[in-house]
Amino acid sequence: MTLLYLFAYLSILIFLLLIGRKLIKYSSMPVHLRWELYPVAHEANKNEYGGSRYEEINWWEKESRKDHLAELLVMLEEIFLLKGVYTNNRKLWYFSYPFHLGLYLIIATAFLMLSAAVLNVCSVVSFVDPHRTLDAALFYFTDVAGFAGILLTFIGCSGLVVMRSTDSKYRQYNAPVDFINLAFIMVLDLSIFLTLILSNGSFVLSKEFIRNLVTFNFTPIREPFFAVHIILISLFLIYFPLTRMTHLFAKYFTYHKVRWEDEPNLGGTNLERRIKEALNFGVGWSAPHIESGKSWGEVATKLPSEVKR
Amino acid sequence: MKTRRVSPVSPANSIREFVEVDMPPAVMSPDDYLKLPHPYEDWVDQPIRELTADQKERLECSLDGLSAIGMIKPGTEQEKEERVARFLSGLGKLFTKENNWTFLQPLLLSMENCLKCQTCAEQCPIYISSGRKEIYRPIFRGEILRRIINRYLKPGGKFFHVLSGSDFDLNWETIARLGELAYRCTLCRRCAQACPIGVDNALITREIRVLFSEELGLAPEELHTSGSMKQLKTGSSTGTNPTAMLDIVEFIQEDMKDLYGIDIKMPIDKKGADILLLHNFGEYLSWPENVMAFAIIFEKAGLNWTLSSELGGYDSVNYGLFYDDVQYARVALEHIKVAKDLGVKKLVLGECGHAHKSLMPIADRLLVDDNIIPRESAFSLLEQIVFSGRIKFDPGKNDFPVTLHDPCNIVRSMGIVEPQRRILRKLCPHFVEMQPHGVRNFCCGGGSGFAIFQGKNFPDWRNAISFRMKFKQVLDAFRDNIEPSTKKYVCAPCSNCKGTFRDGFNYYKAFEKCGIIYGGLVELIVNAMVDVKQPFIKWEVK
Ligand code: SF4
Ligand code: SF4
Repeated sequence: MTLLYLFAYLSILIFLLLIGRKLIKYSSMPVHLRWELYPVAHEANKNEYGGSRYEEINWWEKESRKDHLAELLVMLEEIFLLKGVYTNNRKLWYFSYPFHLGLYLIIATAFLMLSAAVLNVCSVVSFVDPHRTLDAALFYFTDVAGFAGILLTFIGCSGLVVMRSTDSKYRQYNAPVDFINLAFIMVLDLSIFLTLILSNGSFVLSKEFIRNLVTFNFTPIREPFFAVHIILISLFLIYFPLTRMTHLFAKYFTYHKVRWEDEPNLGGTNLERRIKEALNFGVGWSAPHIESGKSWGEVATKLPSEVKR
Repeated sequence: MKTRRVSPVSPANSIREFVEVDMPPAVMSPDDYLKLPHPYEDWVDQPIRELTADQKERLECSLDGLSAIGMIKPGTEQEKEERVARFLSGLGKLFTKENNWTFLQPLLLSMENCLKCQTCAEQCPIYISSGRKEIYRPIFRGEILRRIINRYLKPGGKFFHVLSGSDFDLNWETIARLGELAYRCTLCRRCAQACPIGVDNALITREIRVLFSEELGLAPEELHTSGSMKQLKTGSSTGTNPTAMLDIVEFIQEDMKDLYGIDIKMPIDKKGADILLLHNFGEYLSWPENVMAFAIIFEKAGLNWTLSSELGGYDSVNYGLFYDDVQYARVALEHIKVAKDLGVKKLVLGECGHAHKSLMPIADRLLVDDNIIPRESAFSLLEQIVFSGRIKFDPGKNDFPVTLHDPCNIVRSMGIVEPQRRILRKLCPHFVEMQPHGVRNFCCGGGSGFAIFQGKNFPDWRNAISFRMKFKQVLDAFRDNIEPSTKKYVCAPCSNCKGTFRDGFNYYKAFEKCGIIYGGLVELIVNAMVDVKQPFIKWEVK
């Protein structure tokens, strides 16, 4: 049984390492050419219609004003309402939204359980028998959020599976692995549901397990169905970072490092230093008009050999 | 060669078929095309002409019967294998920072995070106008590329290829089709704008072009040999050298005097001027009234400006932007060198969308030290002039309906939305917006080089399919005055867009059937000037 705890720790560790690796990969890329796409949410006074500072005469002399609140609002709408899908693909939104909302609730439930465990260890809340307001609030809110989470995820996920397998515009673009991802989530959902039913409609087993993880107390797990549930969750934690389900994290980069990345190169800045670094990279392309082996800076300033003036 | 009619809902030309050696080419059926409004209810599109027997024999055209790249078919199996190997080697390079730092981060993010949700599909004018042909779906190219990567570049690809849908052996025919398919997208980025994840299918398309050009040496003649190469050699992709440029300016000045009684000597190579004005050279040759109009406005406003007759100083075109970063960088640096040598305070881009994007945001991450020269859009400058009171206007002279086309490169990719509108609202009393407009506009259909593809049957495809959505927008905008007796003006402030409108309007007989012409922004400004006595806008087919 201790093995189960060890596996859970290991899966959390692998999850963090793999996610960390992905984040480092995306964030440690060299500077790229500007490729913003309007509207850029932080463009003060112009974001409503998609304008930019390029509209101003002598724009390089003007202070750049960023509207961080507007940017935050766009992000919140995207994350919590899936506004882009709502506006441009309503049919999909009817399933995608409950699916994502359900996942958020499940994540929130896990965090509530973790907080309860930590507070319990600090003797702030009683764990299994809530009798004070805070205890009860934590206790029942966790159950409600968890239950709503699995229900919504299940509804959304089933809808997505049906859409993706019956509509040819989805079916042929979705590889078996995409269906496996959704199926995995549905199996997880069922296992949480089963746990809930078999432990009298409350997440008491999960809460205890998390508390045991926090306190390094390897109390044996007696219920076989719960052991299976823990194995499934641990496997999912390892699997998740290897899939494109991590779009949750990638989206930060696609928006902040590409779509809304409009920092001008006015010289004498860190940006200019990074550009100089990139211009020193060696080019290895093989087409006849490119002299392989030279740096970008050299290749760009030298005319191709075919050009005789 | 087998052919098959592709119905709008059929999964014909599916991903499965695409990776086979013998995919039946997709057939464009006019019956499937996007329907046009009044007075085009009964319009019958001409079918896209077939390539000649010889062209079919020689060129890769198995995608849809077109050949934008003009790729010669490899003669032997060995040659095919070599090309497959080179393609795969180039694909690897596309994901290294040394070879592709220019777009590595956006490319990787787009390749790894598409959810196949199809939210982007209904935004694509080509996909919709063609009758929703599967191969033109925005994610089609990216998905093929993804599956090739999963199979051949990812660790474990050999073992997990069934799971990732990559259970096929790559053949040259598939690669050739993918290369062609990269030239059925105008890189307008409407799809990217709708993507909830921020995946950019236009960028993926562009990078396929880059791989073909920078590794395999394959690119459309119009962009490479007669485009960026010719420009580096002669100073202009039109082949015009500095001496000829000076002659053309002379002619334009004479015409200006004869036609409008305006005697202006355009400043050329004036050291220390405040402004270097850089036009797309297409304006000098096809729309000289645009060059005249700029000169009239700048002179009347009393600006200290100049044109340049130096190599690199008179043609703002930079086709490298569409297909090749190395060629792009070479041309951009030539432009900057001229501005630097003249010692101007800023370089102002005339009415050319891709030149705006090329020299303003894109060049921004290429220029260092004293190459960092301020670059500005003519729209901002024109707005300042129009609202400064330095020139007297009578908006009543623009007494006709006007609508505005938003060039994707200037608007969606740069956020220059309002200056041109404020000018039109002030000077054109019957200005109407297209729907959608601004950053959500539809591309003219000539983006990414399509405007200059005049070879083989490509213009047929462009007019009937890629221009179609824009034409529908124009008809919708003018629907209340659609009769030919009311003359109407589409303001298309971009040389490539104008080229597309010219050919598209001729194809649809827009002037004869609806009285619609197109032109630039400066022409409308000059037409409204009190001092210019002759009407500056000519109501005739261009
Ligand atoms: S590119 Fe974006 S919108 Fe299109 S299918 Fe992929 S994730 Fe969806
Ligand atoms: S960039 Fe434009 S033309 Fe290309 S796929 Fe996207 S919407 Fe279609």
